[in-house]
Amino acid sequence: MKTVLKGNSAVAQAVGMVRPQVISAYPITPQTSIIEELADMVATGQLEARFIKVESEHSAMAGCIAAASVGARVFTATSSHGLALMHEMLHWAAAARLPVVMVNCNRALGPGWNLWADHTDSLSQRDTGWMQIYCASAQEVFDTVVQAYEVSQRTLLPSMVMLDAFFLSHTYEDIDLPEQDVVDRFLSPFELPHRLDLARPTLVSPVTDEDHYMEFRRKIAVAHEQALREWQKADERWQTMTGRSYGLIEAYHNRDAEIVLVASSTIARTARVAIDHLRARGLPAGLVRLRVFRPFPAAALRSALARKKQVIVLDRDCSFGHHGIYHQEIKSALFDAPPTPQVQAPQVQGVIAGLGGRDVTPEDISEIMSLAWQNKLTGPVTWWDTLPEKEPDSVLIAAQ
Amino acid sequence: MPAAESCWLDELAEVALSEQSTTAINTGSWKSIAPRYEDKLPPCSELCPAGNDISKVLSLLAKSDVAGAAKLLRTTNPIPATLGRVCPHFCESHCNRDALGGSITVHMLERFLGDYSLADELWPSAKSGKKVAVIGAGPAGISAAYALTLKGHEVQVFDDKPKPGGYLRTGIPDYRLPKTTLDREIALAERVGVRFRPNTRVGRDIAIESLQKRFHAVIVAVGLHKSRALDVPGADHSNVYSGVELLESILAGEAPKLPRVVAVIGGGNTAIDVARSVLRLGVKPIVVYRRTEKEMPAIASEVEEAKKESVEFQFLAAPAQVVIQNGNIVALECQKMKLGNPDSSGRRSPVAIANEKFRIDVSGVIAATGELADLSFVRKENDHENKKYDGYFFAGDVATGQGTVAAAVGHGLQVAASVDSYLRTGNRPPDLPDLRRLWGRNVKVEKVAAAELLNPAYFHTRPQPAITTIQHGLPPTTFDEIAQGFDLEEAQSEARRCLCCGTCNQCLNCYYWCPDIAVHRENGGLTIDSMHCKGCGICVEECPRGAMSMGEVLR
Repeated sequence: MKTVLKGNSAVAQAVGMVRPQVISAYPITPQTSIIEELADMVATGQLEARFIKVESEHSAMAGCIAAASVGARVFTATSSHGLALMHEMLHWAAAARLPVVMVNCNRALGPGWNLWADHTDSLSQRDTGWMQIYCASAQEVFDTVVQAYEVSQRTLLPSMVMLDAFFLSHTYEDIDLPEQDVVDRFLSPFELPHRLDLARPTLVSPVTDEDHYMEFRRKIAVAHEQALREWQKADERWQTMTGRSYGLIEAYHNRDAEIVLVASSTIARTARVAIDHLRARGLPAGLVRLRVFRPFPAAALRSALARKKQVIVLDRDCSFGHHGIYHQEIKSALFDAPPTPQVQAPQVQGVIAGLGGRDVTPEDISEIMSLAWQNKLTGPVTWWDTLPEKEPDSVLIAAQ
Repeated sequence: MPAAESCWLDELAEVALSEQSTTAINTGSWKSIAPRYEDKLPPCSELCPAGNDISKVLSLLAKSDVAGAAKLLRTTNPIPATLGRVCPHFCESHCNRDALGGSITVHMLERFLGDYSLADELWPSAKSGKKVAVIGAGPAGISAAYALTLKGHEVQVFDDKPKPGGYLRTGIPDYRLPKTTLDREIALAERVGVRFRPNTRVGRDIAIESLQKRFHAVIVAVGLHKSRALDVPGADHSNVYSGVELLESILAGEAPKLPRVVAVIGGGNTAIDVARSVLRLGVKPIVVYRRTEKEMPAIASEVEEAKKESVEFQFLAAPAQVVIQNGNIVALECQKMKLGNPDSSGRRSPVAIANEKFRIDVSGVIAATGELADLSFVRKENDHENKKYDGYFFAGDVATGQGTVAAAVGHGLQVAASVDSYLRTGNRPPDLPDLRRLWGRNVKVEKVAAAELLNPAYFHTRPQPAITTIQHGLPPTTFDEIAQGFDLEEAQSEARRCLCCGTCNQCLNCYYWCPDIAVHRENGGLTIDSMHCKGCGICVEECPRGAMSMGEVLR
């Protein structure tokens, strides 16, 4: 069914269709309308699930972990500080091998209170063992939530599905909702192998000392390796059923590009316009959108980027003391593709832009790419658009 | 990765699993504070002069154990059907439920259980071989006799009236306490083993010295039955009555022919009871009291009902003279009063306003200005210093002057405990025991479960049930009982409103909340596994009724 929905509603519609048994959630802007819509569905009987109102995000995830431990299909959503508060429980959910699915609206962290788009919140959770997928449209959000349940069940790894605050969470877009039976057929039957069961009393996750701890961690690593294939399989099955797929990464005008922009989420959509514009001006520009970030699709990135002249990585985040997080990750992927006599390794430069929801326009991206092509971006990292000539906002002058 | 290792990993479960119990790990050994079950005194029991274990009784009733509730009530209260009707229910004045729909109507439940348990039986303990004489079959005497009989002593109760009951029979009108109810309670006391000796006045029919010889202990519980005489000119007229005596004759069905309009002098329960009684005999009573309604010692609800029944009141008036013309009373001359400084009772004292007198046209006067004890049969009459000498125990109003049935019952029970101790050890305890320490359950009586100890999250407002009353005409013409009792459903529903302040009723909140599974249900009770309790205090915080406490762990 074709309709028009904002990103958050696309999430709620997808969750409604995957028939979760337990939703354990705490409100936070800009995620709140997701769980509000789900609460409505539960209250009206449209969705048969237990909705647990908790007192914090830490408890929200604890509720998901508990319910998932007995084999229930669960959902929660959060954002920014809420995700940060969950941190301890994120490790638990992953190491307890529970197929929890969560949606995170990428929002900046305070102080400097800010409700707007920024990726530092979820990228700070990179090493928790969760899978991370960054979406660029309401349709992709819907499709990815459904895919995430299937992949999480098959890998016993939790999934975090990202959409940008407001740019996607509160923007209405056209979307094609599948019939319920499509979703039902897509999702495989599932039983958690180590679920808590009164008939077989077992202590799950007891003290696990140096004799075994590392083996269980290794199994998580192996599961992540397998998850790359599971994401591809799920995406391919989804395509046969709905005609839509996204891949681990999305390439745009990349085949013959010599300078490639790497970006994720909504900035990558904006970038298409800039790439079209640059191409029209004769610049051999291309785009790679990073969609699945964990597990990291290193091989796909290598094949997309290794033979390029220049790679510009656009980060809506920063790992202070070093570079943008995507920037580091892309470099690490390319380091495994050593130069050959025929091929030089590309020059990789990072641009940090759009923090705290600052607009990154097609003009910004065109300018960044043009400067890079002319070798006018100096140094490994450029902070875009925080130039000295910019007028400071009189309200925020604290230095005086 | 090498194939062999991959195989080994595949055989491993996804997460670590163990079939061993974690109880071997004593996670509770580090705590510095620990929870404990500690029942506290509910405000109702704190204020009950008879020391009834109200919350425990109500929790049994709430759980539909009506027989258990009735029996528990009967162990500490010999006349619940009576007290439920006549007590001013001090217990309801500070009820924590008050803010959540109105206080629990404890008196209605006491009455319900009293009526229910009239068919119930309690069994005394083994015979002690000791004999006790009780002089006076009023509430204090019956209570003392009942409690001592249950302790295994042989008790005889001497009373000069033809039937036991004392002031309950001779002073409380039938519309408040039907005598059939009293008869059944006395029959129950007899079934327990109390022996009543009616028509036997000590000092007239039998000498107190003889009782002292024949019994191991003698309890004097004769109450206050002598009306204080009216001391004004004209008070010796034949139409000037003693309130106590008049009530007794009305209750015996031998009321004299009364004048048409009478002044009832006094502000206590006798004044109100006699006014409402003569009203039912076609007389117009005017209650004359020297202070204002606020200072009246009578039960406020009784005053309220009297006014509803058209009894008139003249406040701030003290009798000065009974005015007699041609041998007939024509008026009561009154001194106009005003309120002065508070007296020793805390009430503002009446002060005469000079030269301000007025007359009330009446043809009769009833004096109900207080009662005195008649202790002429005891050696050294009225000698308070000697009330404690060996051989005699004084119980009830004659000892305390508190003037309520509940106080008399409570004092009777206390004296009985004292006598029991004396009979068993030969020593008389210097002080009377706290009745709440005799409940047979562990209660921290020094701590009252006031509102701040309760967890309001667990209680919702529920309205107080209406009490059905029957208005018998205006002015009323019969002595039929006014307030009607609860039926079983009403009583249970009301008992379920009880917050059970400070009293564990096994709601199991602690059991469900404990994150360490350290609360165990054992032998019908709850225990804390101290080796696994980490002292987080969640159980104490979530106890709805303040029946748990935290304390330091002493090592």
